[in-house]
Amino acid sequence: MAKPMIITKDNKDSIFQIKKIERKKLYGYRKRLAIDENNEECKRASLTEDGQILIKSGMTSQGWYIDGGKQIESNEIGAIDENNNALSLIPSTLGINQNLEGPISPKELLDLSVTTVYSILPDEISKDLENSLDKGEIWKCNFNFRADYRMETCFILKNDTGFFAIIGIPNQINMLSPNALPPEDEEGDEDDELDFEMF
Amino acid sequence: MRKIHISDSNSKNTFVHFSPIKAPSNPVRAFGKEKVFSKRLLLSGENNDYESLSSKYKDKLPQILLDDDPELDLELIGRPIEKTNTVFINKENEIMQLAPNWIELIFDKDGNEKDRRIPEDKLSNINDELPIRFTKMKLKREDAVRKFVFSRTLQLWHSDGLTFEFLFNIAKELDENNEMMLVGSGEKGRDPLIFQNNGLPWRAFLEGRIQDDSYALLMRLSNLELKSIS
Repeated sequence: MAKPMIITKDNKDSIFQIKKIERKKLYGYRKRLAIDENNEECKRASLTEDGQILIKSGMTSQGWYIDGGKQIESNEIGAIDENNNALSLIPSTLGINQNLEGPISPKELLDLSVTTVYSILPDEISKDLENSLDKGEIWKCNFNFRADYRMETCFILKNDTGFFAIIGIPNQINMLSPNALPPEDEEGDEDDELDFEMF
Repeated sequence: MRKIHISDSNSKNTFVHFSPIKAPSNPVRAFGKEKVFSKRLLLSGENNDYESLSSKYKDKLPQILLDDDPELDLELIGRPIEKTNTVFINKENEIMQLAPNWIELIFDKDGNEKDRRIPEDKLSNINDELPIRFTKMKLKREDAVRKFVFSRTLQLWHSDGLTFEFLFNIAKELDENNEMMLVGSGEKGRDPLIFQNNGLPWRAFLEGRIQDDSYALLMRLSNLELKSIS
């Protein structure tokens, strides 16, 4: 079980257990299965271009290299920013007090590229925070589930069904003037997952 | 660049461009200050994986693994994999010569299979003859963010003076009222949006921002309600 999330508002701590919310757990899911002429399940595999090697699931791994071909062990890999400066590993925030900022505008939450959503269950909640969340206010703090080279942002809120933590990376909205140039062409994201009724 | 067919509250409609709003990229992986890149490598041959060895040696496999290392094929192990083609294999691990058929399995939220059927293709519905329309459902921003998880955002872009005015006015009305408008597709204008064939259906809300003579009209997409799980 993951360590709890500890958040602090006006020097008062609140402690929450976290539980990841996934579509599958709320709505179920669909999966497409390939079958042969005898209705037996078929598996997807890969064939090298020369047709010599059939690669089944689990037969490959990933290796890391630098220019020149030297192989790098995964524990030697770090990260750099856009200016080529080495970045430090930021530890997980779980189990460590994080100060809340807010209340924040819903626009700030809308401008978040969401990575994970947790249902959070209070082991202990300060009266002050509970009252604020009951009023519909939203608070934010730093969050990293595990150590990483960038910190994510966590928004805490409450609705009729419970408390939630919405995690992600803030993004930038472009305000368009009349003479704004059209956006650059980008490939559309492809989704493998199939739908399930939400409403 | 992709286009979407959309109408406003006065049933005026047009085709406009859209593009996704994306988060800043992840930091680049590096060794010191040198960027690293990954390659796929072979770990075993098709006759050396657990399944093959297990069916060949049966209960003698543990001892044979200790004595002879049959899982290692020194000709193959560590070989980088470049381009490959996708194939399907049957239960005898033979490559199928004919394309497989497909069935769709439906699972409930506990992971139990509920149904299986022949899948139906779901076509994209954002660039149809019928435009995406406003529904009657409007939510204040503060209510929308407490009801839905908006995991993707598309920004609608004008391409000329007329589409600028069209999108600017929608954004202005929504921003002034602090509202988000649910839009839908199909004959009744209530269906979720499907952006590519057989893609996920999304519920889409329009949100507007105005700053002087600039605007942002954002399509906030959700396929998840904010509901606590027991």
